[in-house]
Amino acid sequence: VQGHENDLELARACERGDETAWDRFVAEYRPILYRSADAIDPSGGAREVADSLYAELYGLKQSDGQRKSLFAYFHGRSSLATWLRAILAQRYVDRIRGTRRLEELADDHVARPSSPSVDHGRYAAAMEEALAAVVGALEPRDRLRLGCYYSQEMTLVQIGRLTHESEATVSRQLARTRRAIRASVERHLRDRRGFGDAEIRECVAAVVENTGELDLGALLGGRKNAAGDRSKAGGGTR
Amino acid sequence: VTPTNSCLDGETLAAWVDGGLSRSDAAMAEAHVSSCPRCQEITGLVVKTTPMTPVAVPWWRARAAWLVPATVGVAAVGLWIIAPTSPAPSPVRPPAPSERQRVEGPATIAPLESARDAAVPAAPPVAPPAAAPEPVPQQAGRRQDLKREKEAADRVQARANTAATAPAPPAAVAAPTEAAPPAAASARPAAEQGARQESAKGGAKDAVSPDGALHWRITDRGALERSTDRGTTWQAVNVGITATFTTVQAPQARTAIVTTTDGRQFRTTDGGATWSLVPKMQDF
Repeated sequence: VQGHENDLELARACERGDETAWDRFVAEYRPILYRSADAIDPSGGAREVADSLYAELYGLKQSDGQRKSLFAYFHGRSSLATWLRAILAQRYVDRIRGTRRLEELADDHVARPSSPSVDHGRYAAAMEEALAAVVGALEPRDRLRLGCYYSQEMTLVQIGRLTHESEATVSRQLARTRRAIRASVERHLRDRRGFGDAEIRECVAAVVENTGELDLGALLGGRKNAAGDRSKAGGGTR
Repeated sequence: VTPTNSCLDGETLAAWVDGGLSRSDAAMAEAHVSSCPRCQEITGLVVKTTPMTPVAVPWWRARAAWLVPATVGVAAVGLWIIAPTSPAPSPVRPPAPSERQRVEGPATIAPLESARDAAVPAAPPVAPPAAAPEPVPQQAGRRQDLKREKEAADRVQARANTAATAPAPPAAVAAPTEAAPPAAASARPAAEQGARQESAKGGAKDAVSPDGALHWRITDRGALERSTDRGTTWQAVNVGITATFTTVQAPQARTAIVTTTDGRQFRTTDGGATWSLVPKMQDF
């Protein structure tokens, strides 16, 4: 709670229904919430989520005759502004992921275009399997850096903010991990598939030729873990 | 650290971004987010929309801070003892690699960088507004990043082109100027020339999804458009970056991949609602 006492005090006052506190929250934090929403989705999709969140913060939901505010889930472990951004991002991502799942289900009924050749398909599949195995065996921090960089498109500084590393360190570690992945993938293809140099080159070429077939972002994000999909949005979820 | 299956609650995630978690809690958060696509996506959005204020130094790091000057002091005394009569003009040792990188900054980190998407709240590709709002305070920092990463990407590209053993880069990565037609061909309509160039590179100016429901095309001005009524009417598509597009592919019903003039590829799997940068396999 250290360092965020004022934020916690404001949140508790808003939760109690203190009009002065609410006015202060509206003046100071509503712009933050809307700026974040516009940054997340310039087309306005996140604004709807922000409006709904705003209503929950005010406490429109009635529980046993009592007004229940989302502020009850704020305990001052972070700044109020970052907490608001986190809750907004959670709600928005859950909404998008829900839509995405429905569309993926619809896509499953459409026949995928066949690979240009049998060999191409075999090499691409081997490469995908090797990459999945190698990425899955990475240390969490290495996988986090890769996922943040390639899948979430974060900058080195932003990644370093999470890992408490300098920009240069993140850069070096990313380079090391990529070299390690390349070496491990080659080893995997040799040991598990019995491929030689020429076939390994074919494997690399198969995915380089058509990056669209290989969802590297899914590999880095670790889509195997479905727990995230099941958990519901909200400040109190854990 | 064993990752938990439970997703991070909003406050833990916010505290992590604010640098307010203990070492063990931060490690738990890291372990989970590294393998949870949902939390990774949320974390990405929170970090991108949170201003880059000085992050609170974790207590475990602050406690060890005194070690740095102490170590430097010991090293300096050691050098003085070892070589007190050295004719060298200064007993100051050269900075360690990590120190050099801090001083030199981007120059040392550049080689591995690849081209990066523009900021999340970027203007539409067709006609960006003259005064786009600055939605997040770290926008200026991102522009610096982008400039640096663009330079780095050029170097990576140059290295890839000279690597003898590396597989040939995909056509989309090739610099657009390499495929420029001879001057004599300029008599033909520009659009036709562009289409022929892209065909030669394996892409196309237009594409139709396998089920025929979505039609995609690149306009003469390099903007992306989509039609849901088999080409009768077209709507501009916002990919989220300010860029000129050269080709479009539609490998699946709701999936499309567009390539920009600088070789970046962006993919949508939801019919154009959201787009993400396609990582380049040759980076690995």
